[in-house]
Amino acid sequence: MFKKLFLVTLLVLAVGIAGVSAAGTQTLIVAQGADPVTLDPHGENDQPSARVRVQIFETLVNHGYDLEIVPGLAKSWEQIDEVTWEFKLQENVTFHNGDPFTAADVKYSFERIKELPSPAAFLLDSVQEVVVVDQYTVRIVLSEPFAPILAHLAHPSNAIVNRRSVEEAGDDFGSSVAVGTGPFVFEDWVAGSHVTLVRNEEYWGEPAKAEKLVIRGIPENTVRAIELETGGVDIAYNIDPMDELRLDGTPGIVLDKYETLSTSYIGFNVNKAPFDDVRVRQAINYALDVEAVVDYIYTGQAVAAGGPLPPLVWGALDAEGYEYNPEKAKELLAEAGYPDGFSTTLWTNDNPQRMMIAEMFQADLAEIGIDVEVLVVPWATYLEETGSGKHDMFILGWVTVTADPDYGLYALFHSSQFGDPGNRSFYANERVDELLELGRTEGDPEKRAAIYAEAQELIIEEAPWAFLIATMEVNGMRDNVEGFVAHPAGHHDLSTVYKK
Amino acid sequence: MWRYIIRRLLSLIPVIIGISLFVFLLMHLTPGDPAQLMLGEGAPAHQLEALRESMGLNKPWYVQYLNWLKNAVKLDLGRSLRSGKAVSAEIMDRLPATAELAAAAVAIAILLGVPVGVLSASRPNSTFDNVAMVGALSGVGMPAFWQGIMLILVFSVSLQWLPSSGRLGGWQYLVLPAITLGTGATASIARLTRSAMLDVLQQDYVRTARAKGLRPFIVVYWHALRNALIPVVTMIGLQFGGLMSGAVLTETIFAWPGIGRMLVEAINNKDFPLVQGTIMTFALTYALVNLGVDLMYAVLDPRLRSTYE
Repeated sequence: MFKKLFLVTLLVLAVGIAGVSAAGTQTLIVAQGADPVTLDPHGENDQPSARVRVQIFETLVNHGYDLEIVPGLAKSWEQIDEVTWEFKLQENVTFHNGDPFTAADVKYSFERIKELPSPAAFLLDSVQEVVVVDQYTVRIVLSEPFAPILAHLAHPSNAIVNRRSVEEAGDDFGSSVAVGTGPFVFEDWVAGSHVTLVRNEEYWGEPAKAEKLVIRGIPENTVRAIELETGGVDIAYNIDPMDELRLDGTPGIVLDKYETLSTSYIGFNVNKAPFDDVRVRQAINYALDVEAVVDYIYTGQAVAAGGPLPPLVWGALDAEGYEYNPEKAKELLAEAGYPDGFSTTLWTNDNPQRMMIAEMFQADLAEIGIDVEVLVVPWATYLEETGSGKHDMFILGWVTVTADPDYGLYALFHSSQFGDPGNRSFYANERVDELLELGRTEGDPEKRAAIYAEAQELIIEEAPWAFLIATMEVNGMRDNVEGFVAHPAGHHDLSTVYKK
Repeated sequence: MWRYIIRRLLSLIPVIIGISLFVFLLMHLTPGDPAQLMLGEGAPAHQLEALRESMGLNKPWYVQYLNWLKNAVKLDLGRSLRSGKAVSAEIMDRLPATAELAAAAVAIAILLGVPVGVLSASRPNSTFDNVAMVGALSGVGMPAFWQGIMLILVFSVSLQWLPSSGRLGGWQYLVLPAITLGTGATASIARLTRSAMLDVLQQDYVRTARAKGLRPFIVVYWHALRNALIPVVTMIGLQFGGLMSGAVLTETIFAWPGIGRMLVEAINNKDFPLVQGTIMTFALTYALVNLGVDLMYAVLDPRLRSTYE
């Protein structure tokens, strides 16, 4: 009798404990390739930091999953005149320290970005003044009409911070203090290891599903994949192509591939012969077997690019681009006066994928008689020397973080942006300049799309770049993870994610 | 003895200043602009200029160096260009993890390397000796990145005994990185102990000890080992100094939050103050470990004590 009673009690207790732990703290562990640099949204503008910050801090408006602008801390907005935008703010929003969120915080944050200056302050270059109309209304006055302003305000670097916490924390803001309005509250950061966040129980919107979020930095790709495999982490970002092949089909693991806003390209120094001849640039575009790069180097984690903008960017042209046609390339080279080719250099930094691309293209170009020497240059030197135009050809990438064509074209192809600002091919075309300027000020989306379509057609025709690929990324997760949707900009919202 | 220690510590000052100047020049003479690296590929010129100004990079290099030195004397190593955190705080955040890893690796190296070396020497050319020395040779030659991944595959993926990365509390996290980091040192120490012991075991006093009828165990571990240890202690000191700074690969593979990984990132980003501060820490650690080794000689060999007066 006693024995039975004892067993029943034990059973009841066990069920009770199991019930408690199932309903208890749910910790979601996410791994990315590096540690954040700072949690201050107005500090270093790097992806690993942004991926943590977007859980803690919020912006006035957001890029939705389809990259449309959707409300954030601003519930609505209106363009008053060409240079004035008015935002109605969400009421009843409080910062994690209990302070209410008001228009004064918006003014303070944007002024702080410009004063620091934040590395991403250029996103607010067009903002002249921030005016507090009343507690929940704020106006942003621009120095000149700037159509992509909303896309710029949606960038995580323009997040709203709390003045009191910034001033009280001083130099500790971003390392041991991070006070925002977002769905997760900062708890702890063990440098080089992980950041711990807990659910914001007072969140103004839909509260986060997971109670605790641990974001780890695991630099070695294979080890990050192994942690996912062994259940050490629930989600692992950026699964390497090699690990993707291995993990594909592994029981318990789901792989999620998504398109990003990144492109890779080969830039020509159009100031130097023979790249000053458009036929030579076109010839090289025809000579490169880009599909082979997609298949063998990226093993499908990329798509061949027909033009300068990745397909997800608003207004990106669905262009055919240049097909692989070595015969046509030879003809063009002969027309340009180089029937036997020439010798040149191709610069790359020590990024393994770029070095492999360089080697494959070296072989492709040898086919049409161009003798290419591949130069591998350390990153810091690479940026400096391609900025000053010492190169012939170079491989580089660009991320159109705002998903707006202005960001993806102006810095790269406008003649005022030579060198460091982004136009490392030193390309100049009056009509392209004119179109890129028009695109900045044109408010009507239809006209704006037409302007950018023409600009892209000209750029493809004139080929200051060899257009290579738009990249994709793969996230891996355990099969009990629900609610994860990848964001094309790479900083994924984890508030909707939970474990079954 | 104390006078000796103080003299040694004072002699460190010019060494440290020399190293700091050398590192500073090296960082500034290689191309690459930290402001450009922070702002990325498409930074507007006016903003690059503003950032350079705010980071003090527009001043001549010697002014920048003297400013750094002036503050360093007051123990203020400046702030990291990227994170804005105090360099001393960055170092203190990371140093314990590296010290723990290096200490564990050296402990493994001593506990395994010394006995293996002694046993090999006491039975030269036996099967044990041959196996141990081939093992030691491959231990010295095995690259950390390969060995680390193999250990993870066996102990984390297949056997599921140990976690594969991180330092999230608990000794389990330390095991694989410590073995990976300690293998090279274990092998070197085993080889050195063996050759030192072989040398000592030929000495007259060992023959005398044996002739007196002492047990072989006492002869080997008390009379011989103590004398063979002097080169081994030197090696352990050097290894520890090296492990403190050379753990970069192991730290990267196992996502260990140590200082080596931080230094490599800082160099890539041209984060001058952080590089400078970290190298100073390494230099100081190395020098202090060496001083410790020198003092150990006096403990091991009474004849040397007079030289420390």
